[in-house]
Amino acid sequence: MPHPQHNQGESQAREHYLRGNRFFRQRAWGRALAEWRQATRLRQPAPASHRRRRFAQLQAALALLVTVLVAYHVIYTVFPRDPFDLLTLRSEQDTRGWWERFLETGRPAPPSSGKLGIRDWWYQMRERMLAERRPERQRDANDPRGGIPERWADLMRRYGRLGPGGEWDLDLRLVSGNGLSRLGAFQQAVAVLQRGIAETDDPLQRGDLYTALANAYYYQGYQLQPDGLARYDLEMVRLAADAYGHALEIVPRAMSLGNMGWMHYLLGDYAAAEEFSRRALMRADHLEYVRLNLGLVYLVEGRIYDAFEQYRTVITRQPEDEVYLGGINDLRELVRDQPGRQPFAHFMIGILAAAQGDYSLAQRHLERFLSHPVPGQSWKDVAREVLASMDTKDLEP
Amino acid sequence: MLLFAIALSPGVALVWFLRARAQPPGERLLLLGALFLLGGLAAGPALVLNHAIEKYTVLWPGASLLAHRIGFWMLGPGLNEEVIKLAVLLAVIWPRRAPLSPYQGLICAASVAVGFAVVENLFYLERFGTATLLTRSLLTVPAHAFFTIPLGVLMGYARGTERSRDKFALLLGGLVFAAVTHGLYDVLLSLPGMWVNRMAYLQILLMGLAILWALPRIPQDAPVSEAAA
Repeated sequence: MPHPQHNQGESQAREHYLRGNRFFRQRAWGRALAEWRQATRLRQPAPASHRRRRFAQLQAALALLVTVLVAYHVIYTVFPRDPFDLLTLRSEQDTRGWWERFLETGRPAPPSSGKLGIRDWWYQMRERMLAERRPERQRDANDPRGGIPERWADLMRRYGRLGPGGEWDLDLRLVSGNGLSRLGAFQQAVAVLQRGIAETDDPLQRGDLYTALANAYYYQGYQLQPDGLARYDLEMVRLAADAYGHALEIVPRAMSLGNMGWMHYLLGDYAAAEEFSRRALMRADHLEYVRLNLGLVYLVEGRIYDAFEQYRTVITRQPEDEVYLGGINDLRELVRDQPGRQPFAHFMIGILAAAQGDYSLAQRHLERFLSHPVPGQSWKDVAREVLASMDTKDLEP
Repeated sequence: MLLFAIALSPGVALVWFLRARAQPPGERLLLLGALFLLGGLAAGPALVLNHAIEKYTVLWPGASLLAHRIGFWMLGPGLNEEVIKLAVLLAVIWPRRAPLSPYQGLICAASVAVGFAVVENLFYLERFGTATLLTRSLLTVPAHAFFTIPLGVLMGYARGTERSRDKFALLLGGLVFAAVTHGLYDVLLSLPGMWVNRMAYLQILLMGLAILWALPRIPQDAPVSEAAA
């Protein structure tokens, strides 16, 4: 039997409801709505049916939640990423926080997608926040000299370059540092770049300065020999690696990753060299010099087939002569530094030289490879095939 | 401030138009404002979900296989962004004691979607400038609303049904429809070719016309029908 109070509420609610309908017909929307709201408030639904309705709502929402979770599980299970790709994103040397590491996908931004991702948003917000914290004199848009040393400003004024609407985003220290490096004044370049790093608040600018500093250190330690091969001052290489490390913490550019891989190769840390090279290639697959470095790393580690795959990939892409020459010289340096211990370096030089068209160099190195006792006959068969495929008439003096 | 107004105005105009057509006048402004803000806040989690798809699966916008690229747009932004908008609606509208008509569902869904699109637009303004903002305001803000409006309408119908399986089917149907139309739009925009891109604009135009056609046919007798059930 229904509760008497419930019946009374129900009849009052009905009155308000019907009154609301009358207002609705007279297009008095506000009053109709107020009446209907009152009807809703007064009406106390039978507890059982009310509970049933609420329970059905909860059930439906939970079922939907479970369905969505299952759908995500299916997506991540059916289309998993290669675990090795993810492995290369983890590094003990990576000192960034978890959020920065989460943002790192190891993939280049597709050129034409036009869609901003969380990584873009994050960097955008960070730049904005840092810009707000920058000293006032550097932000003052009305003062064209904002952030420029007084001496530069004087020079600019004298030569009529300091007018209204001047663009002062140019990082003069970066330009000076790179220029001094090009001129071979490495110590001055390092001093200018270090001062720039100490004085800038802009993370992207600091990243560029660190990259320039790394290049200055590297070329300071780079000694070209009369035979066209290079020797390296490892102390300078170490400093360059440190600077690249700082640059990568700010902006993980593909070229910096590739260069970092090369630094680690020179320092003998082959695991790190492989990791950085792979990360660079994931971001920019077209960096052939990085692929050649990776081949070199595999070669030194004794992973001949992997090394061969890298060299073969480069050859199939038919790069410029400079790319072949770089790869061949790196291999020749390996042969020079580890005499008699890297017979496969001769093999790789042979195939690169053959692909480049330098048949005499190819023949010389392939024959040296064939004269070495190496495990596995198949590599020698490949070497013989390459030798046979070359036009021997071109080798005549 | 002016740019903020440019980013905001198409969305506000759309919700205002939809609310003005309601008889009696639609949802309270306070609720719509809250949904708008929550929709804007929901843009963050949606981006995290999109990023997770790109990072942990083979589906990403630069994948060499076309199927993987299409998969990314359908299961990434398409599904994720609609799931997040649905989550806002489920959190705010679904458990409310007050009844919900399909038309109220429509206005609420449009508010969430427009909030989402406006916040997204503000970030695009920072990166790509005013011209992009204007284009996006005219195209993307309505597009987001059109994807999510059917979901809101079906949510309104779902609230009126008795059985949980009917409610579930209507909600799931709304989500699938929203995710597929959103994903299709992104796919059309991402594929090379001007004519393919124009198909995305055509899709939005057709969806807009369909919604305009459906507006007078969507039940509005909101507070009464469910309360009397």
